[in-house]
Amino acid sequence: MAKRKQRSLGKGMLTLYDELGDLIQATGDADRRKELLKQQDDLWDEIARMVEEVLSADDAKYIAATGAMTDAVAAVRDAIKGLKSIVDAVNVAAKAIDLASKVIPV
Amino acid sequence: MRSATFAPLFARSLTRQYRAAIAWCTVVSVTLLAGCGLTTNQQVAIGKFSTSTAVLGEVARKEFIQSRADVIELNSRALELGNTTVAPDKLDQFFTISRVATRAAACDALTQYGELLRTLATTDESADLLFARDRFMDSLATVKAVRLDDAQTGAIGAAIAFLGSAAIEAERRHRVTVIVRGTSPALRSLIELIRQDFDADAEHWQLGYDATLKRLENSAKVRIPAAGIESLSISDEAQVREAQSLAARIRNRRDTANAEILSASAQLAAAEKELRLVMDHPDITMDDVDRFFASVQKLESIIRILDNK
Repeated sequence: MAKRKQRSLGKGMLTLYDELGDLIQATGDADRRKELLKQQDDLWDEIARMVEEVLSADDAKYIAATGAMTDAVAAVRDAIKGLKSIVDAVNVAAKAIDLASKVIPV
Repeated sequence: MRSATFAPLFARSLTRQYRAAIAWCTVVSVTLLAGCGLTTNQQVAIGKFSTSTAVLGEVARKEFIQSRADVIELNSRALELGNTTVAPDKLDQFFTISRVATRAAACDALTQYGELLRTLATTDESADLLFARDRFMDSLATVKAVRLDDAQTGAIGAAIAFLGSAAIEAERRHRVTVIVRGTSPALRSLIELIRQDFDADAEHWQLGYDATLKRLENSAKVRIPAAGIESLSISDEAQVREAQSLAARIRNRRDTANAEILSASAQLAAAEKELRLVMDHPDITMDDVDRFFASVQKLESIIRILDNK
């Protein structure tokens, strides 16, 4: 619920930022313009804080997901090696027969 | 002395043992391994999945990097227009190198996983297996106590090649199944992370992008006096118009890229779902599922028609 609120807040803040821009452009009064510009800059700081918060939280999620995918990549590599283990087993058997032939008397 | 008398008996029994062992192993292994390899449906699903991971991994990686370049360009222009909230040493605000690298690494891991899964599904061990079989047969030939005729040699060689190959296919299917099931939760969460980063309504990566675009658009807008853009000096008017045109161009490029990535993530999500389905139920495809739902819908509408009557 809090997340949903924060999301709509992001869009709302950007809309407000735009509307302040419209007001600044429309006003002919220098003091009013200065005041609105200050408000727009303050609003930007809030927007920036929010974006930073959202993206930082996502950074952590990406790091966790990448770690899991890296483990999966390692598991697939092991599995590819595992297929070779069957070939290796035949090679080991051949080697064992080589050794056995040396001890089996004729 | 003892070995001299024992040798011929041992040779005969060894041969018999080999024959019996091979015959037994063949029967048991063929029974156990028959049909244990990946089915065509599974191979097709893995191929589709691998292609989808490559597409999403590539386009998303490229776009994360491009986003940073765009933001630097947008912020540089806003700074030129006199926006005091732009810090000259933070032109990549929100989209820092480390943040982009984190996401690019995730895309790389995704691509690599898809490629390796395809390799696991298709890697061909037959040449190595035949080489090992030949080595085995050569070794067997050196055992003087074992005398095999051509037919027996051929049968043993064929048995080793067949069983080895069947064992590889069974192992392949087992490992692919275990990996696909085990990786699925992490994979789905990564696909969702990427999807939401390129969804304009989801307010993640795009929130930073939109904010940066709006800052430039507003930097241009507030430069325009109430009397209109024409009241600006020629150079100021050009600067404002260039900023507006840059913002529009980047917004269009971004929207096109987002649509492409959202489509790629939807395709990968579908391919992942299909892969899980065919690994659990090798004989069922998504087409079968779609056909089933179509039949249910048809049935539902028939019932509704009858109900209305």
